Amino acid sequence: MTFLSISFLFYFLPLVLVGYFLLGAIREQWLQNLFLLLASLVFLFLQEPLYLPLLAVLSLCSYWLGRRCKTALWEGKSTGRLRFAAYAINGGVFLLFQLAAMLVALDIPVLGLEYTLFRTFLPAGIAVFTLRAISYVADIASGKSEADHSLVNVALYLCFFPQMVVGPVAPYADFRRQLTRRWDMQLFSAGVCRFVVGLGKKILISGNLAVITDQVFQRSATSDSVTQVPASLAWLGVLAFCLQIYYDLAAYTDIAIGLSNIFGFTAAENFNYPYIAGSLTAFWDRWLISIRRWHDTYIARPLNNRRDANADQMIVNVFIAFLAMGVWQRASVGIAIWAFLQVACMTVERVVTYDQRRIPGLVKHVYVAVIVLLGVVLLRYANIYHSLLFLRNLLGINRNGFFSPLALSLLKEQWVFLAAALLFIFPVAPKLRRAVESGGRTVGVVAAWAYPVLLGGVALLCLFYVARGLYVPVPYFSF
Amino acid sequence: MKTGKFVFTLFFLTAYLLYASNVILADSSGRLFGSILRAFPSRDGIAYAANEAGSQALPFRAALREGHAYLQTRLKKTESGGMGVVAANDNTYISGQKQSWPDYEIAQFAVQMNRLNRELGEAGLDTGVVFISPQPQAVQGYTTPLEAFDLPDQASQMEAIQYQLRGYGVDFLDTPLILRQSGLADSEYIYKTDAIWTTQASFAAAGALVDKLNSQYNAGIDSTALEPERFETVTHENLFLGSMGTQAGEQFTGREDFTTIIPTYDTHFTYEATGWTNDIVGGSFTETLFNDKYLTAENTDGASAYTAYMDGGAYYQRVITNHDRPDAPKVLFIHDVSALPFAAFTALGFSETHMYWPALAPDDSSFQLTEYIAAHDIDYVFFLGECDYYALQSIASVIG
Repeated sequence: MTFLSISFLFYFLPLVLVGYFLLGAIREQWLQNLFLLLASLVFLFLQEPLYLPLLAVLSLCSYWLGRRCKTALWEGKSTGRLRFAAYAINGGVFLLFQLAAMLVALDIPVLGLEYTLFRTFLPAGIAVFTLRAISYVADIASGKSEADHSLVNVALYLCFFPQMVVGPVAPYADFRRQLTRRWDMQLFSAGVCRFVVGLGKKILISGNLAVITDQVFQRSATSDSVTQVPASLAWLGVLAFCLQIYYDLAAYTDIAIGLSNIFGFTAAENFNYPYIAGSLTAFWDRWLISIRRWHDTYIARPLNNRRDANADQMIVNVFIAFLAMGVWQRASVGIAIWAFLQVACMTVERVVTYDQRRIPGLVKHVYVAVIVLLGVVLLRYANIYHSLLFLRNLLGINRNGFFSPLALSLLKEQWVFLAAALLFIFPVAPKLRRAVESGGRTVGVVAAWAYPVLLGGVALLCLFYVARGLYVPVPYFSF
Repeated sequence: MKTGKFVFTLFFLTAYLLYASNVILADSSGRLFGSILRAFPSRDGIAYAANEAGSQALPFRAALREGHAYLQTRLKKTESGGMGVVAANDNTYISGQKQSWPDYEIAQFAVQMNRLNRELGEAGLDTGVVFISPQPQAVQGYTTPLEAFDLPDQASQMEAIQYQLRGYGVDFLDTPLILRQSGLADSEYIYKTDAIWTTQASFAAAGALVDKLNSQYNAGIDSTALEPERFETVTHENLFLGSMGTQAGEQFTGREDFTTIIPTYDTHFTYEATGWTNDIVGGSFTETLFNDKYLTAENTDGASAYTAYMDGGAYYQRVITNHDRPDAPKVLFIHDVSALPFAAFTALGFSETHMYWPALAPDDSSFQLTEYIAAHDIDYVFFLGECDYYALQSIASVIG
């Protein structure tokens, strides 16, 4: 059950909303929290019944480790082993699944195992779950946060269904503050609007861009077919794929934030128009912000704090953090090369003080675009050989020719969605908002009526697509 | 902006909750929960079952699909639903999900058929094996696959299959040749909104099969059973919306004419069908194998006019007994959707027509081909499937 499925949109979500707000009438916040936890467990159960016990055991483990950390701190003992246990247990289980998924993708048999347990998907939501479980224990161990005596609260933090796809991931202390909250109409209506915007991004933009990328990248079934992709088609495919993954992740973030707001929670932003960044460092400050911060806080920083850490070691640590962030999405050789590419470029940027240099804006954007494009080719394929072949196609050095009638057809078919996708990588909405706010009363009144009409149109278009049967391919990652 | 958001929330939430409650109430028959229970505890079955049941229960579903179709036409698109349906240059539609059959698998299929022939002979069974595939969608001058979209060329596939079968000594009905000789126009072979052959094409092929069995196998079938003069042909204009038309929306594909062909002479059948329910009916052709309740323009969702013959895909196993021809041959069809009007017509010439649709059969189906042929004294076994990788693979799976 995904956020876009009929079962979620027209059965699960309305029933949860009605149940949640009916419980709100009793004015017992703990009952609402318990209800949200049960709803989250049902959500996870409907995705994959077999893995629910695993997540339940991991939740209990985190709860117990948190309590043990509290006791250890109170007794003045070291919490290092407990923190290590949190990393090892949660990270270990996650890595096991990712490794199995990688071997399945590469079709490498090991010990004759069929990987029946891992054949389809990772346990639903385990990527976000793992980050939260580690940060919960690590924060308590370092004294940043208090261990919660309520298992319901901890489990809700770990399994909160709106944020189980791509987060946002916030420290437990932030989440805990919101466990006692008041209903806020403004937050609620902002959440509803954000939810619809997310649906629009995913269904209308990402879903249509996926038609292009699938037509281009599905030719990667065999190495021979990768060879056959003409350069113009390869460039169209990679451009569409860059936009698709951005709108995909941004859409899930919008849906997550929107749903969180509807239930009275706030959530951090995950994106800040990353494609307008002028450097790779700035790009990573704007892309999957909460996930990037998590890797900085819980991987790079603890490694940097070691006594033997010098500048070289710090670069290695940043590489490890990026590698972990890559593996968080998928384990492959391409991910390692991708992480190396990112860290190498960011290191060079730092060494040459790139940000302070007078380089034309266009050159800066082209530089970022090239690195990002190279990166997504590495991310798209499980097999590094296919990535390299595709890169040769991009450069036109694969005897692949330039012109492609398919590229023209796809452009003709999808130009509206491609144009919309390109337009909205720029901060159009904030600019419009500012214009409305400074435009006087008449502009304000027009905007007050135009906004719901436009958003209603987006909702209706999304419903058209849902009724037609959505085309929702799985992108390169599977959380 | 806050006012705008508030206004939107008010209207959206009201409409959303009303719509969702309609979805839930429309499912009062418990289709959702029934589907979930049936799917439990399979890996991804529950959510899938819930989605399938939910999509059937969506209020205004057809109107919403038409909204989608309107958008497609306004955007001048030729593909709909992620290449699910692709409009060809001559206003016909091709399923983008059709797959080519690799050459080595075609050869393997021919080997399987050859082996079946041999095994039946070794078991002392004098059963003829004939492969039948409807005319592929890609007919020269009628439907051209869009080269840009790299859709499979089904006509070449058909030629490759026939070439391999001939090489391995497996008999087949040369459908393209038959249809060319039938006097039908190219545009009457295949529906433009579906990947299946028309009633007229399957009727022509059914007659050709009877002729082939008589001339080649001395089957002794009464050839007057399928004489066109003994049938009433009625064309229902702008009635049919095939599965691709239903998917993409009527605005996108438009409707097309649907022809019914019904015998005018007295017939007596018993029709036994096994699916979600087991049904047995007896009576004439129009009381057993044909049901005109599906011939309404409104009935486009899930039960198209094509379902008028033998209730469409409701059953995976059927037995038709023709009481007027007790001495005629007994036949078995291993088939997909293509067999529905075809087998209804050929049933007029056979004493018993057994049918098995492997793609619809439950996983625990105990159907064993050679045992079934021996147990029911089958004279001819026909493999009938559309020219598509998955369709033919499913049929080939029965041979083992």
